[in-house]
Amino acid sequence: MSVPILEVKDLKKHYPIRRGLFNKQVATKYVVDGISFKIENGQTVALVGESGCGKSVLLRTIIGLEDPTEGYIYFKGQRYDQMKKNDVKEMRRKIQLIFQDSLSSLHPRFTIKMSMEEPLILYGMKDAKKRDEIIVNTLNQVGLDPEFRFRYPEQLSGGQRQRVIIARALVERPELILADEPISALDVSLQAQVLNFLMDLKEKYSLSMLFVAHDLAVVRQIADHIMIMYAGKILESAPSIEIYNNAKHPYTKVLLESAPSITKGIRDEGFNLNLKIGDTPDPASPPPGCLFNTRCILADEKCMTVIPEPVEISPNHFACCHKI
Amino acid sequence: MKQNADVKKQQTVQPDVLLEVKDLKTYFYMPSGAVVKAVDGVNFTVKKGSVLGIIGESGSGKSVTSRSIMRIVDEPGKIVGGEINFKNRNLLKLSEKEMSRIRGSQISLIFQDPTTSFNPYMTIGEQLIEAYLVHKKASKEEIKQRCIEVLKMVGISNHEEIMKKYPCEFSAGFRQRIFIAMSMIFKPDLLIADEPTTSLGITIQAEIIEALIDVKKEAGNSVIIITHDFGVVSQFSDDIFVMYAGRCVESSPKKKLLLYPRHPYTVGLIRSVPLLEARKTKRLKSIKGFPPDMVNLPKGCAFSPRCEFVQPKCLEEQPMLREIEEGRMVACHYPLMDYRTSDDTTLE
Repeated sequence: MSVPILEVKDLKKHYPIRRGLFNKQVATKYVVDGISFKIENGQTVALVGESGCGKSVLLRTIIGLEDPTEGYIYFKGQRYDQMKKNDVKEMRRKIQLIFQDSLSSLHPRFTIKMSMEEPLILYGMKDAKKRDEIIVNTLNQVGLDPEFRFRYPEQLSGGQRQRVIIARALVERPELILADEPISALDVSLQAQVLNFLMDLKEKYSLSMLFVAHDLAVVRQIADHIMIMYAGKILESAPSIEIYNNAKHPYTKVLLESAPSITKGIRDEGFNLNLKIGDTPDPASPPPGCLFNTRCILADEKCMTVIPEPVEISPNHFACCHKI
Repeated sequence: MKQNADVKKQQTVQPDVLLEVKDLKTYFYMPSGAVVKAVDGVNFTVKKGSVLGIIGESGSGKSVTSRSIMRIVDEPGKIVGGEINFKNRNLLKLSEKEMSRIRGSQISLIFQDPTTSFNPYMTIGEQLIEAYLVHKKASKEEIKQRCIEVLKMVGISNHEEIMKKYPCEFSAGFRQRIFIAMSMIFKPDLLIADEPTTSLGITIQAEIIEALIDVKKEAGNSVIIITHDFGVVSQFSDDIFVMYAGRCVESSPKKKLLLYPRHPYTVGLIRSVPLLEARKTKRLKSIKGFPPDMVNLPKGCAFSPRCEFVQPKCLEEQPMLREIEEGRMVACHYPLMDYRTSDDTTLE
């Protein structure tokens, strides 16, 4: 088997909480706490979790905006902290991030062209004509009128801006795309457009992708492998067919069942939320035992004290729960 | 002739109708001279104890509709026409003083963002008490009793502790639940929820909707829920009202609309929702193009540039909302009469 494009081993990112006169560390926030996974070439892995579970921090760490507290990240078999300076630069070119909020990730006083040009200039493309050519091509690829490159971000609609963000990620011909909830800020009719478009890209350029979402329905079409994240840990990880047909972890089941759906609406089914009312645990003081025990309806004494280890259910399907 | 008109009028005022919006028009007069017709002739009724779901994309005028009902449209917006009959009184004819007596006591509005709807410097208890005292003088004991009642409605039991805390000490989902409790404190007849779950995660979203359902069951009020999420409206509402570019394109009882949508836009919206139950298909069916520019709406049907069934007539003439079956209104020249969303016959 070839070397996976991205491999993350036991990654941890903790933030200290400092208080008082001497900035003494009083507690630690366990935002990302021991995550391991691989993305093979051309594979799309979806990371699904609710707000506050640490998925954005994980992305920032992977792209190198944050240094991990513990654990290692490998890009094409090379460990981040052992790379030479040039390799780091090359890696940053090959990994591109698509942000969630398209308005705040484009410079308001830059035209679209200036925004898209920046990475090219940064990597030493001096020929202005060639840069323009690449930009026109990329805009065409994402289905936007090349004339848009002279406009400012606020003159575009949300869906168009999101395409610009994607186009900007593509100008450098990346091999791995990290998409941080690329469609959750869009209208329903545009969500489908952008999702279809990402799938086209994936096929055309055999891109690998880490797709972050808070909703299992969204990643159904696009993901090959799905990881369910909760409070900094992966609770279940499986090929996407397994997640939809054979979910084992109670949290995954809740995510599948509690999503409002049209079919349930037609059948006049009510909500049956199998969940204790409460909030996701505070990352500064996670509960002892299983992280999900504060909201799980199956939780018993063992769940309150013993941390569940991952259990292999079928090849590549892991779940962390005592109740399987 | 006059007699005829009287008979007709009597028929339209049904006893079980709580709110009737007739030909509502809210325009925004931009400094540049442009006029944005955010809401342009909208009609709907809300029956007592029922839930109406208003669905539309951003910019379709759904929030402006709810703000018009509360009469809190911001400048440069203006309600330029129509009637809003609430309990047989036209809200648009009331004085500001009379209107403020209705706001919060008979009609409540829940906003999208629970963070900005609270005063950060006051405890939850103080804000609940304030919400009560605005409309009625009461003894401390009486108010406290009512606060406990409404907090229980939304599933919050440790009220003593909650009342002493500040809004920032809770998560967004919890705050939204407290806000629902607060809006119920005066037993309003109508609760308008404007995208109550949009910024929240899946499980929290389900909790909020469950809270709304519980509240409704206990208090028996009517609800208007405004959202762009077809999932939310389909599990919660009795009737659905689809808006596009400031107008209603389709309104119908829920089940009929979801199974047999008649307007091409409704069909497109339903098809572009990613379904959990669906087989893994290659592509979602999306609506082509973008939502229209509200300043330069196309001549004819506003949806015509994006419609896959467009005909020459659609480009010329604006379709009027008309009844095609009992209780079903569609604004389309060529409604899709034999389309259905699912082959599953058990859904009938």
